[in-house]
Amino acid sequence: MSHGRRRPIQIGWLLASITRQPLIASLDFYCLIASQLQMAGCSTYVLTEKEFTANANQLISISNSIGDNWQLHHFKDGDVDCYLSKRLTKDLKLSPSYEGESVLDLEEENEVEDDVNTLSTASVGELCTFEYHVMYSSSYAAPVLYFTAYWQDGHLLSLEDLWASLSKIYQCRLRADRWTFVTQQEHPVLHRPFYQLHPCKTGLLMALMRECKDTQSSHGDGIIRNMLVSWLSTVGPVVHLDIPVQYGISIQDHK
Amino acid sequence: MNTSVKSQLQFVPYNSALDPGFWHQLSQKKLDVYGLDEELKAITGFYTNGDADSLPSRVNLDFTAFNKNASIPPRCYCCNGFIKNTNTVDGFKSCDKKQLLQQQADQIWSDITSGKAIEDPSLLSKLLLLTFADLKKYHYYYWFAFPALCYPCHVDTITTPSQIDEVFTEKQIAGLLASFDEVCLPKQIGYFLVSEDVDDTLRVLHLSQFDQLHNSGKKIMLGFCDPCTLKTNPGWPLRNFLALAANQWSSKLGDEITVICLRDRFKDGKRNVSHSILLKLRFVDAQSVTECPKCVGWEKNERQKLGPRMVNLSANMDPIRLAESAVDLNLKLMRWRLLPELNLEKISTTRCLLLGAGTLGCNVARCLLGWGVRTVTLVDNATISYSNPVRQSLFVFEDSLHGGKPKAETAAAALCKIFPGVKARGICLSIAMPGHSVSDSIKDQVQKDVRQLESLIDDHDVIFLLMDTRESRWLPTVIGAAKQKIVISAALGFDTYLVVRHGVKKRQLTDSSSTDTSIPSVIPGDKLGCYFCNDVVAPGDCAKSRTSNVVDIVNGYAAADTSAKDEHLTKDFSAPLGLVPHQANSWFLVKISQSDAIKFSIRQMYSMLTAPRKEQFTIIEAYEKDGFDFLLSAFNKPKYLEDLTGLTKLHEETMDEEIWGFTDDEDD
Repeated sequence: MSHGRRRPIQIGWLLASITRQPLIASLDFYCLIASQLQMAGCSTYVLTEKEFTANANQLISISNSIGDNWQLHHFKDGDVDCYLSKRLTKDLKLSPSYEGESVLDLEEENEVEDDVNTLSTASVGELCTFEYHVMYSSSYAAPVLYFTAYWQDGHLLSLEDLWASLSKIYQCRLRADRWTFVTQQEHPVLHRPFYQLHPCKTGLLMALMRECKDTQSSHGDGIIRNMLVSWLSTVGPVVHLDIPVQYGISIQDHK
Repeated sequence: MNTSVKSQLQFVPYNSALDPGFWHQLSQKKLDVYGLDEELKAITGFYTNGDADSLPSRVNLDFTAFNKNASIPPRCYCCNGFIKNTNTVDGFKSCDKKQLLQQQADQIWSDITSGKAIEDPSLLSKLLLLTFADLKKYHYYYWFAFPALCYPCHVDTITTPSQIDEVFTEKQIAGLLASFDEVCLPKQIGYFLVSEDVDDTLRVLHLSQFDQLHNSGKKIMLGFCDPCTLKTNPGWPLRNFLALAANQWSSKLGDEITVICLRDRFKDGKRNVSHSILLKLRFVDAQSVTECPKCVGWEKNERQKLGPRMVNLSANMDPIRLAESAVDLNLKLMRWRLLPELNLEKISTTRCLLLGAGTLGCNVARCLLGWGVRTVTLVDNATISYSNPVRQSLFVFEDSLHGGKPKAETAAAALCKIFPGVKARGICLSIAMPGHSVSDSIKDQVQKDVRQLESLIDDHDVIFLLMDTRESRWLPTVIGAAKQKIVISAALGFDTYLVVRHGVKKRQLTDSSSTDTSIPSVIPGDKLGCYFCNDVVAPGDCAKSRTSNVVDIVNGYAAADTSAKDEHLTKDFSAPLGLVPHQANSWFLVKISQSDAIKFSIRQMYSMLTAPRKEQFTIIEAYEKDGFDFLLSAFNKPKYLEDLTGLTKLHEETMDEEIWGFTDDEDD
């Protein structure tokens, strides 16, 4: 198989420009292709630790230039020493599904006073913060997306809240499938419960991306790709994580 | 454009925003470092001016808040302060909030008057956090304050705030940003000065350059990174900044003070500051004060009252709750992947009674845990012997010392140790057996035991018969059938096993006189037999006759057996799975090919328990009619059951060879 004269395509973006349902389409597409690749005995894409680190650094530098707030964290544990993280605060127009226990019998304090220069804002709905961590898994030789979401007081969203927050289209599509790729795991570094997009299909998805060729391209010279970005742009939007198209443009511009 | 109105300037307060990791860290600090220490400890929060419209301004604290040199995320600005963690809820309530806040105000005021805050403007952003952590319940009480000096007490807006792009040209804004990125961004400084050069370019300068700027006669504007997104009001950081300006530069700023509230966000990868606002302000009474001005800043709670908040994190942090949810999630995973119709709630609320806590009982109990069952009661009257732990997976060597611990209680305790979310109970109880005569001296005890067994069966949904003898299964079989419970019987031999789900009879049988002897394709559940139904020998004292149905012998197949059994149970609750095999038996001999290894068969209700066709339910009816007296007869008279059910007659009518021949055929 020749890999020359190929250009990476961010399938998610491509389909996003055609339809308003990018992820559903692309995930279906991927699952189909992935299973075919698997049946045909195609190997998965092996993302080396070195490539992961290089990809992560490139992602960070683009993120910094477009203010996307990704951060790189280094830790000394095993052979892979960095992970990416990003926080995103959203008003989901949902309220927490857990019951607020009224164990708070503390009477309102009179000793603290209000003042006229403070704008009394109307009660705002509970905000929700999504936190995404991208780590390298040496056993899968693939990146792994961990995520969690919490209300403003630090209380985690239940998985039900989380699914309810997704758009109707995804909910429909994922009703049967959601457990096939989301599991709960302890964060390898922080040792707190996180959800994880299971990496078992990631290698196949990346193998597919490598095979993708932009037939519209007039200049098919050499490949500039960032597998990490390609993969993230595809799976991220399912869990509110959007990867702006600037990443793709910047990667191309690096030529 | 700008209408000239005078109104008092109002500031938009912060909201606190916490990360789960913050609570994890606080718990750890309390346990490992703070102990009973209630002194103030330094913590670091941060705010951003990059929020999308309509998001309220927030000070965030995450798991790095306790770090000495906490790094702040990019494009965020630090808000340092202190945490006071009280030891009791009373300490939390009674602590002097006014004084706590005043301490911080004094510090800010001294930093302003000494000029220290000019050198390090981050001293203007402060936070105070009062907490009480109930680590047993994982309840956290907390109350934030973002101290702000009420000085000058009165600030008027001369004109309504305008958007930055209404006042400055695109080029000027670009210059402002370039200059900001150079001066403020790398060090994440949230307060700055802006000067307008002769060629209209805007330049960002450090606060310490004020005098230099002033001397050069340039117009000076104040600028700060504004976490607020409202078009009409500035955010909280401006309060202490104005206090600094009024105290230090009041005379030099002139009557009209211009403030740039810089809001700096990225949308779709493009930087945008056009939603920044410009304020024209006048200090109404900025007379110099020597004493620290009044300070405000306690956060309102979710009811919009000045008061503390509480968050219950037991579901996120209590290891027991975490284990429970992880087990459930695992099962849900299985349901979604393999058995979408599986009713997990029904399984988890099913109460299981395990009669026998030996090899079978231990393994069935563990498998039930795996299936999410939360109520398990074990019954056994034996103690753990030296040979038990290797096969009986809930026991260890120590349990067999000093005569051995009671099996049922020890097994229940082990279950709780394995999974604290389970309600496990162990009961030491003997089960009376037919053919084992009951003397008058123990009659009362036996009657009491039978009553206890009856009430246990009443209180459970599924009864597992996991004893080591055939005849000990008889009594619970009868009671279970009479009470219409699901009864699952398992027996284990050296190289064979048998699992039967007993039929549950209907009260009225519509077709009881049917004499059709052909093998039906479907046998309704109420016509399925039980462990004893097809037997032609009534249960008796096998220990006396040394027959081969003593189970629980050396074998390693309990797990295979028990999983077949649990499958029975789960299938009972998930009708959509289709036909449930009624009975599974298997041989573990090598000569039998893999595909033949497990044989599912169906026992139709015939003989012993529910009696031959003409006298169906003989035994159940006798039990229901005569109760303990009937049982006593069965226990005491060896031939009683065979006589009652007509087996004696059957034996007389049939050649023994034929019977055995028939049995052999069935076993093929």
